[in-house]
Order: sequence, then structure tokens, then C-alpha cells
Amino acid sequence: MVLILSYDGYEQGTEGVIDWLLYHGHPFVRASANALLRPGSDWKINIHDGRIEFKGVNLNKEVGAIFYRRFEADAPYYDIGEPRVSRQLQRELQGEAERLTTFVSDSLADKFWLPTIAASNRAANKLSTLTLARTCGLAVPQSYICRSRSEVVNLLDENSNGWITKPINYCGYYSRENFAYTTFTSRLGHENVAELPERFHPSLLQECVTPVYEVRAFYLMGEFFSEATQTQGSTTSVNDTVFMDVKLKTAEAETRYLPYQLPIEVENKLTQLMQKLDLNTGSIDLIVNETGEYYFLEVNPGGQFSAPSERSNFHLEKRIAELLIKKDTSHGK
Amino acid sequence: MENKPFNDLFQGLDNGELPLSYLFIARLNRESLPELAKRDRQKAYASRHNCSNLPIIGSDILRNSVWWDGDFCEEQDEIS
Repeated sequence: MVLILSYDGYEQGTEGVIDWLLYHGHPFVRASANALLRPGSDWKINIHDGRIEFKGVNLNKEVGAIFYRRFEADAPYYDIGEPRVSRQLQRELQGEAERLTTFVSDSLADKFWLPTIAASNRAANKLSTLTLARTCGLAVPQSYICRSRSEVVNLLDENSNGWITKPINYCGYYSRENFAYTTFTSRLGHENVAELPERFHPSLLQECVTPVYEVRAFYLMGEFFSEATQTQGSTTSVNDTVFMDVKLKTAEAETRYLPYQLPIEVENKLTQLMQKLDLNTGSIDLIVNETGEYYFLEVNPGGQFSAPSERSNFHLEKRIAELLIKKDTSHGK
Repeated sequence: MENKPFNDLFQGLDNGELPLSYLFIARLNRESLPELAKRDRQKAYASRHNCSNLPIIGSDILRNSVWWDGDFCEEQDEIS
């Protein structure tokens, strides 16, 4: 049986893979960390012998392969009128949940994982991954953590092409009424310096590499399925802000998506990186500049792959489902 | 799209208290973001596979196996 650890709600990567498991008639069970916390949920956890049951299924015995998309619980925030107490309670509930989910995943450590939680967590740190990528011979943009305007000025003096800033981790969408607020990769130049605060929260600055095109490569067990994105220009200006983010180009008629073959030497370096990260799957972002140099940006172990899969006819959901079936069937044999 | 609605969203916060990327935060209509528009459509139809299919009995799988509890997951999509 295949165990799918995912979100409660719709998740593009999960649904498409389950479609194919259903098509092949292969047994699976989908579970979420939040379901683990619900009082009425049907989990039985025996610490003594490490036995985990979900909906009457002995996962230790029945499961051979695990498709990991997410297995983190969201501890509730109880507003009890005193923020300090509410925050402490949430932290403690989060700790309870984390220990519980970690125990469940540890108890299933002998299964085939696509990918493992430990590797996913490690690779999710962009900063560490960039450093590691360099050791594999990949070009990466110069990157710094800055905390003051003067540091930004010094960097601008060193590199006149400018710098970009983006979150170290992630910024989602903040919804309010019919609006969504979010950050995009933004360019920093001398023209922005005056508006920067004197000191600020530690921020990631990266050398601005102007892309001729960008490549999203989906890696699966040593194979690459790459797609190039060509856009009309690389910037989107709004008043005095210049964004350099391909996400803002997706709706433009001039944007083109093409199946793409990475040079073998780049694939080899990326394979080396994935092996060092112990990752058997992930979505890798690269930029190709005007001299044809490939810059590694990041790898997302739980990346969104359904769009490139559909656009470039990669059938990734089918490949993943069939890999899980194969690993599940052969597990323990 | 509007840029830099920092004070609109983070009322009372000094802009030095957040990473620089938040200084350039943008405000967009949800419909203008293909990713969010798609997510809204999907939300309307909910998840296709909030189920376990044990055992698989052809097309009965989805009809009889829902363990959905109703808390649709939209991580970091709402202001809390």
C-alpha cells in the first residue's frame, strides 16, 4: 500500500498522482498531520512497539512506499485575551504536534520515501543549498545577508548590475477582501537606497543575474524533466519598483514554455547536488544568462510540478504513481 | 497591481522590523493571479481525493470513503 502524506485540502501534486493510483487500482491511504490531531480521527499509535494504525490499517505492515508532500500540523491559536499566554500555548501545542508527527514518520523510516522528510527539510534552506551547490561546481549568484542600508550601498558600489532581494524562506499570499498581498523578487538599485530603513531585519540580497530564459527542472530518481520559460523582458515595473519575477509574466501572451534539455554537465552537477542532499525528487530553478551560463537558484523538494508536466507533456503524475507502485510492490522483497 | 502597500497591510509596524522584501510587497486583485484564481476555483470544488480507498471497489471508492472534516487547508493564505 502507498501512504500519501499531504495537505487536507486540494494539493496539485497529490491529486494527480492519486488519479493514477486509482487508474492502476493500487491501494493507497492519504493522511495529513492535521488529521492526526483531530479528536475524532482514526489513528492508533502504540509507542511501546512503534505500531501505527490509521483507519484500521497497520501502516508498519501494509505500507511499502510513502509519497511525502507535507506532514506538518498547524497548531491552533487560541485567542484568550492575553497575547503572551496565547502565543506560549500555541508554541507548546506546536511542540506536541511536532513530536507526534516525527514519531509517526520515524516509525515508518524503513519504507521507500519520495522524498524523505529529513532531506526535504535540509534542502528547504535556500542558504545552505546555495553553498552546497557551489561545492558541486554550479554557478550561483553572489548572495549576502544584509541588515543595514550601508551594507546595501557597499554591495551596489561593488556590482553596478544591481541586486535583488527575496525572502530567505517564503512569503505566501495574505488575503484581504478581493486582494492578495505578496512579495516578488525585487530589484535593488541606487535609486532605492534612500527609501531603505537604516537598519532592518536580516534580508537576503543576491546579485542580479539577468535571465535570457529560466529553467525549471523536475528531478525524479536521477532523471530530469526540464522546461524553459522565455518571457518578453525580465522585469515588471510598478511605479518606482522593479520586480524580477517570472511569476508576474505567466499571464503574458509573449511568455513561452518549451521542453528543454539541460547540458549533460549541468545535469551531472545537479545530480551530485541532489545526492549530497539525499533528495530523490525536487523542482530545481535555474537562470540562463546572455553568455549561456547556468545559475542555480534553489531546489524545492515539494515543488509544484503539475503545470510544467501538463505544458511540456512530461506526465510526471503518472511517472510518480508508477514509481510508488513499483517501490511499494518490491518493498521488503 | 499596487506596490508598497506596507502600511496598509502591516499597520503599526516599522518597515525596519521586517525583511527588505516586505518593503516591496505588492497588492493585486486575486483574479489577476492565475495561481490564486486557479486555487479559488479548486477550492470551490474541494479536493478530489480526501479519501482512503480501502479496499478499492471500482468507482465506489470516492463515494464511500471520504474522511473529510471540513477544514480546508489554505496555508498562509489568510491574515490571522
